[in-house]
This record gives sequence, structure tokens and C-alpha cells, in this order.
Amino acid sequence: MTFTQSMTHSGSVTGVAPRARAANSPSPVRAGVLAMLPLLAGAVPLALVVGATVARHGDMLAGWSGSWLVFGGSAHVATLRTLDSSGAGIAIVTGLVVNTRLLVYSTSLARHWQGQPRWFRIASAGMIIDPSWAIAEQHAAECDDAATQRRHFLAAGFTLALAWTSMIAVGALLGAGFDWLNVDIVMPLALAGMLGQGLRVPTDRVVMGVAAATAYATRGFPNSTGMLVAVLAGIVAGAALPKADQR
Amino acid sequence: MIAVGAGSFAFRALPLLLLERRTLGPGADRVIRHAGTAALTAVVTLSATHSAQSGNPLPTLCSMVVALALASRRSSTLRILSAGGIVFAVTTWMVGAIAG
Repeated sequence: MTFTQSMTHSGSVTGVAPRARAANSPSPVRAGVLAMLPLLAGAVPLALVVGATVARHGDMLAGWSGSWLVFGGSAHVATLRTLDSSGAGIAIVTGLVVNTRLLVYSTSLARHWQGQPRWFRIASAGMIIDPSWAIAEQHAAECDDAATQRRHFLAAGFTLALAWTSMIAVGALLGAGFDWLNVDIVMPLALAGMLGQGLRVPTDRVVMGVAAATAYATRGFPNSTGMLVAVLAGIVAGAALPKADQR
Repeated sequence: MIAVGAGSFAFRALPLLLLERRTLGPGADRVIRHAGTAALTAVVTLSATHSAQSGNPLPTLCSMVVALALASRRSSTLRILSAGGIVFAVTTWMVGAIAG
């Protein structure tokens, strides 16, 4: 991290410029790609399973289109499965309920992206999901330069998007060939790393404990509404903590 | 898919566009941060629960404990995946061996 000071016409110090990237630090594009690669280890098996689910629903092109339209494995699978059992209307509601957490992620990123241009806000919106949000949050804590944040997020987001959509296509083409693969454990292991920072903060530990317990207790709620309840419970738990303990 | 995709894009884009020139107060800022943490925790919990339901829950439980312990110590995602995967495989084998 380097600091620079700028001078007015009279030569007095005006202030400290935003921190710039050090000369020997990796490019933000490379850093974004490298940050996303380990998380692909969890996303790729899930994408293959999503692709296999797509294949079982007949219209592969329509099903595959969800890979870049919905851009979320849990919502994609929930929509397809609910389509079979309850019809299009309920399937749409289910998919949207599962993805309501994106409102939270996007609002969270809006705090860090105050200086970002509108084109970036629109372009980045399509790539906001759990791994890209977590990477962007971590990067924002280390760097507040708008251009660097832009390049880092777009690199990470495009890496995820490319891998995600292509692996769903592979899964759809190979179909039931992946039924033997026990991929269910891979996603929670991959996402567990993103919880590490919160585990070191007492306030966040309370929020996470309450959210986890509520999510487990409401796992049988219809149309994935239990997730919404868990988010609300976490918010209430965090707000209920004494102000002195709040971060 | 189009309807879910359009709605999902709206969820993602609206806050970014509405908060382009506005900032959240400290209270709202805290709520959003807690909500993000709670949402990610809920996703991890539900996906781990789904994994546990496919058989004996012990392998999932053991691997998640190891994964979260490593995560709290700033371990890399690859190390978490490797350690968690090994614990899951070993525990699955042990459970299978005990069950006969």
C-alpha cells in the first residue's frame, strides 16, 4: 500500500490521495481470476449436477438458458424441480424467493461501489452471486480504488460465468452420467471459506449461529421461504446485540 | 426461466442503481452487513443439510467442523476443500465399516 500527497498552487499539503496499487502487486484482473479459481472447485460439480437436471427436463436449450439468466445453482434447480411438481407459477415464485438474498448482496456491494460508473453497475449486476459477492466484499476491505475494484470484480465474475455456463452445458450433454458423483458436500465446503472472516468477529458469530439454527429449523418450509426467515433472524440477532458490541 | 432471470437481475441491479448517489446510514449499513452474513450462512447450512440427508449425517458434520475450523484460521479454499473432502471420505468409510 502506498500513499501520495498532492500540493496546491501555494505548495501546502492538500491531503492524502487514495491508496494506489503498489508497483509489485499483481494486476487486479489476474488477482480476480486467481481469487475465483479455488471457488470453482465447488461450483463446477454443482454446475454438472444442474446440467444433468436440465437434461432430465427435456428442453435442454431452455433449461440451459437459466445458467446465464438466473446465474444461481440453487434457484435454477429449485425452479426446475418445482416446475415438475407444482407448475410454472409456483416455480417462478420459488426461484425468485431463493434468489432474494441477491438483494442483500447487491445492497452490500453498493456500499463499496459509490464511485463506480453506471455501465459497471449494470454490467456487474448479472454476475452477483455468493462466490463473486464474497470475493468483492473481501477485495473492497483491502482496496478502495474504483478502477481496481472494477477490474477485479469483472475478472472474477467473467471467470465464474464462463466456467458455470460451460459446465452446465457439459452436464446437460452427459446427463445422468453424473448421478454417481456425490457433489452435495462440495458446495458447502467451498462456501465455508467465505465464512472465515465472520467467524473471527464475535458479533458475526452470533448472527451466523442464529441464521444457521433458523435455516436448519425451517428447512421444510415451502418454496425455500425458510431462507428468508433465516436472514431475518440473523438481522434481528445482530441488531439485538448491545451497541458496544456492534462492529 | 426468463421470468426468474428477469426478477433475479432486478434484485441484483436495483440496489446498485438506487444507491448510486445515496449512502446508507450507519444503522442501515449494519443491517445490510448482518443480512449478507446471515444469507451466506443460510446457504451453507441448507446445502450441508442436503448433503447430510443423503445418508449418515456424521461425515457431513465432521467435514463441516473441520472446514469451519480451517476457515476461521484463514486457510485457503483449496486447503479447506481438500481437508474437508478427506475427512468426509474417511468418515464415510468408517461409518460403512462399522455398519458392516
